[in-house]
Amino acid sequence: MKHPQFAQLDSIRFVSSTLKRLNHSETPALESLTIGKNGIEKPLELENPFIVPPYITRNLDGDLFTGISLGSCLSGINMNLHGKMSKDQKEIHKIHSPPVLYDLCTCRKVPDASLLMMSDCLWLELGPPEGDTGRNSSKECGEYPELEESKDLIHFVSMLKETRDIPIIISIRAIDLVNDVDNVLVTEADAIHIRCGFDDDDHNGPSFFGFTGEPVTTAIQMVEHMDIFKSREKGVKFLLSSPFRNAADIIKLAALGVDGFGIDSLLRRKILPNENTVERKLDWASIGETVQISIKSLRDEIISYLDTLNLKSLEQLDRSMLVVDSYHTAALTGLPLAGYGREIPFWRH
Amino acid sequence: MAQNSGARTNIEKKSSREINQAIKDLLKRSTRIRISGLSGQDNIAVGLKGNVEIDINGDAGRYLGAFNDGPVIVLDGNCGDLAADNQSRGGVIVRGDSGKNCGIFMLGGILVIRGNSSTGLGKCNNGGTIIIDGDVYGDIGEDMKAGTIIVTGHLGGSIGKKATGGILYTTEEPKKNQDDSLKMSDLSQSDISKLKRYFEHYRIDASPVGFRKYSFGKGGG
Repeated sequence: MKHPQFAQLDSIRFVSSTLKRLNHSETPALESLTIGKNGIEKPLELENPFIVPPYITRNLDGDLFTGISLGSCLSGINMNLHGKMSKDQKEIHKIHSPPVLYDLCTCRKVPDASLLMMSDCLWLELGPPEGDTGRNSSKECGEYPELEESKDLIHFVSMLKETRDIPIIISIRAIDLVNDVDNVLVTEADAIHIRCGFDDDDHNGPSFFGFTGEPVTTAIQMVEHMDIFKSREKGVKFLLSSPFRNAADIIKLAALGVDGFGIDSLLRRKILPNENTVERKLDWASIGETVQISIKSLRDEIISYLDTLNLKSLEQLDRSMLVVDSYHTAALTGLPLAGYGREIPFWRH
Repeated sequence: MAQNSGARTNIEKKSSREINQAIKDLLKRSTRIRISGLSGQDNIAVGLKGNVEIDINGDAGRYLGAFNDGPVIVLDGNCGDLAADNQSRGGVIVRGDSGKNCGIFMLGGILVIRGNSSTGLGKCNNGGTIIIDGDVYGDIGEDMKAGTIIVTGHLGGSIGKKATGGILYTTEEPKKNQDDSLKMSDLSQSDISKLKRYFEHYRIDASPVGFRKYSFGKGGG
C-alpha cells in the first residue's frame, strides 16, 4: 500500500546508542492519557493514549455507532455524543461509565441540554467538518455562527469553560495549522488535535472523509515551530489523527512529541464500510468486539515494539533518540542526519 | 418562585469566574438572588440549572445566560452578543438593548429584550421563544427550525433565510426571503391569546391588534 505521507517516517531511525543506555527489566506498558490543564476540576482520563474522534462516528447510527461505542468503552477509550443517546448507548454508559466526548458540532443543534452536563470533554472542530463530503452529508456540522472573527474563538472557549469546567479539545486540519494554531493556543483549550495525512491516490483511505494528503511529518515539523510543545509545559496535549500503518509509525510520532493518537483510521479500516469494501452487516455486539480486538492488537503491537527498543513506556521516548537517513526528511522534521551528528544547518531548506 | 427577600452581593470589578462563583454560592443559600455592579463582564450566569431567579444590575458582555437550563435571569441593563445562546429552559430578560446573535441555538425557554436588538437574532432557533420589544437591526431567524419570534418594532434585514420551521409575529411586513418559504396569515384566536399572555406577563406595552403571523419553511410553523 503506497503511503506517500509516511515516506519520511520510514527514513527516521532510532539511535541505538541512546536506546542501549535505557535498560529496563520491566515489561513495557502503555500509559494512560490525561487531558486537562493543571487545576481543572475533572480531567479526561483515557486508559490508553488513543482517542476516538467524534467525526468518525458523526454520521453513523444504529449498530455501527453502538458497536463502536461499546468497543471503545471496553478498551478504556472515550464514547462520543452526537445529540440524543440511543437506548443501547444509555445502557452502555450506565454499565461502563466511559469518558464521554461531547461533539459540539452536532450536539448544539439537538434539544437535549442534559447531555452537556453528563459529558467529560468537549470537542470543538474547526474548519470544514470531516465526514461531510460523502454520504449522509450534514452541512450543518462545523458551523459556528458566533465564530466570525479569529478572536471570537477565545470568547467561545472561555464561555464553554465557564459553563462546565471540563477539558476542551480543539481539532484543526494540518493544512490550517499556519492560520489557526496561534488562535487556538491563546484559548483555554486543553488539547489540540490535528487531522492530516490521508492518501487519496490509491483510494485505500476514505477520501470521502475529506482529509488532506500532506505528509504527517510536515504537520509535526510545523507544530514544532509553532510553540505547541512549549504550551505542553502548561498541560496542553497534542493529539494526532492520521492513517498510521503500524506501531512503528506511532512510536516514531510519539518520539517526535505526539501525546495521543486518533484511532479513526483503525476504525475505518476494520469497521466502517468504505468505497472499496462491501458493506458488512454485523450486529453491534460483533462490531464492539472487533473494535476491542483491533485496539488490543494495536496496543500489543506497540508494547512489543517498545520492548524491542528496550523502553518501558511511550513517555520515555524523546526526539534525541531519532536520526534520519535522508536530507529531505531532515529538512522536514528538523532531526539530525545520520552520520552528520547534528541537525543539518540553515541551508537545509 | 420562592417568596424570600433573596441574597445580594456587589460584584463590581470582579472577573467572570469570580462572579459566577459568587452566583453559585448565593444560590446555595437562596432561590432568589440579586447581584449589582456588573460592568460588561462576559459569560455571566452560564450553564446554570434549577428553578431560581437571578436579578442582575448593570451591563453584561457576551454570552449572558448561555446554556441556561432553568433559571430566570433578569438583567437591568444592556447586554452584548449571544445572550441565551443554547438555552434549553428558563428565561433571560434584558431591560435594555442587546448585541448580535442573541437567542441562537435556543432549544427552549424564553428570551425577552425590552429594547433593540442586532442582527443574527434567533439563528438556528430550535424551539425557544424570543420577544423583542423594540427594533431589530439585521437578519432574523436564519436557519431556524422551530420556535417563536415576536417583534413589536421595525424589522431591518432578511427574515427566515434557510429556515425550515418556526413562527414570526410582527406588525411590519417583512422582506421576502429568497426561497419564498415565508407564509403570512392572520392571527387565530389562540395566537391572540398567546400574544396577550406574553405581553401581560412581561409588561410589554403592545396589543395583538395589527400583528401578523409569518410561518417559515414549506410546512409553515
